[in-house]
Amino acid sequence: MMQWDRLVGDTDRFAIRLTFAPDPDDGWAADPDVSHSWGSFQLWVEGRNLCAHSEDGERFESVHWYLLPLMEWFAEHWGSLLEEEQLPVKNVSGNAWASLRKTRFPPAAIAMDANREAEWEERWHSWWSRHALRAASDGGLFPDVVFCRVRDDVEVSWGDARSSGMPAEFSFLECSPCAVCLPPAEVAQPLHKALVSACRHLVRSAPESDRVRKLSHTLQALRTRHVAPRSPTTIDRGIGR
Amino acid sequence: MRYESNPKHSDPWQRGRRGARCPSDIDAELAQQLLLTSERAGNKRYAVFEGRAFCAQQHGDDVWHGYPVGWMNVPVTIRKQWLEAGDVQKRDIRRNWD
Repeated sequence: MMQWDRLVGDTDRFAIRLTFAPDPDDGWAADPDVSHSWGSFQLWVEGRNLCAHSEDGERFESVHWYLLPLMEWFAEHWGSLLEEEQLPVKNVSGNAWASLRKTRFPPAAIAMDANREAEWEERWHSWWSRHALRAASDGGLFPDVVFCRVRDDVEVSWGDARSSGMPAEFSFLECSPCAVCLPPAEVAQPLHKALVSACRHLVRSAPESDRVRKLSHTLQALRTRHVAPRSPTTIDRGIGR
Repeated sequence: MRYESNPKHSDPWQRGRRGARCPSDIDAELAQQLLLTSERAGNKRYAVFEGRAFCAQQHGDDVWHGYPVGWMNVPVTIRKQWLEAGDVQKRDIRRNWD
């Protein structure tokens, strides 16, 4: 049974749908704050629903999971998602998803040097944690989507990658590697609106939760944040190194 | 620390409302052992078993549940520590990366 549902944005450009529903396990073995946030989400980019997936041949339009960690991740990494550019190790492909895949293991020349290898892995992991949606999955089965800034746009890129614990009969339907660049406001505004609206619901359903209150404050602070276009100097520094 | 399974990671798999499924060779007793030997990083704990990584989260008073994760999720310092101790091999990390 659905308790709350919002689709914000233009599905032909960028949109997010968040839905809350009662925890089907009545909060069993879940943090109470997290259990309150059981629900589902959809991410839409240029008419494609990146959360659509098949389970044992049946199509599902949404990813079902606890939404609080996802919302906290968006809030915590807001600046990185919308304003931070290239990978720290190397841009080796046309988009962030493909570059992350190609650079996930240090090259052989670096792997011979323990210090350089550790530095590579730390930088890769840190960037991945701030940009890859799966860093927020907290046990859920999320699509492999990466957000980052590319010049004056926000790039959303994705591809097919299995994840640990994903049953063989489970697969995301938008699995061909792809990237779309959108004006930052077309991503930031619907995302922020959806998060604020969803957080209001959580505040109502769990008014005693410090964690939800903290999220609310973080999201309110983001409201005034300006997603600025890049200056030419910054663009020159950030691309093509 | 006490382990308590979260049904969203356990069989029977219920379509449309489940997360990463725990492998069938991890029973409750082994999960408890993994929890006791796990390493803390922030508010999560990580464990290794036969080349695979697992994550645990606290949901009650020293009560935890866990689920499988790819090595990409495991903090680099913990990964390095286990590599140096021989608890995991590089080939396992590559094989079970995602």
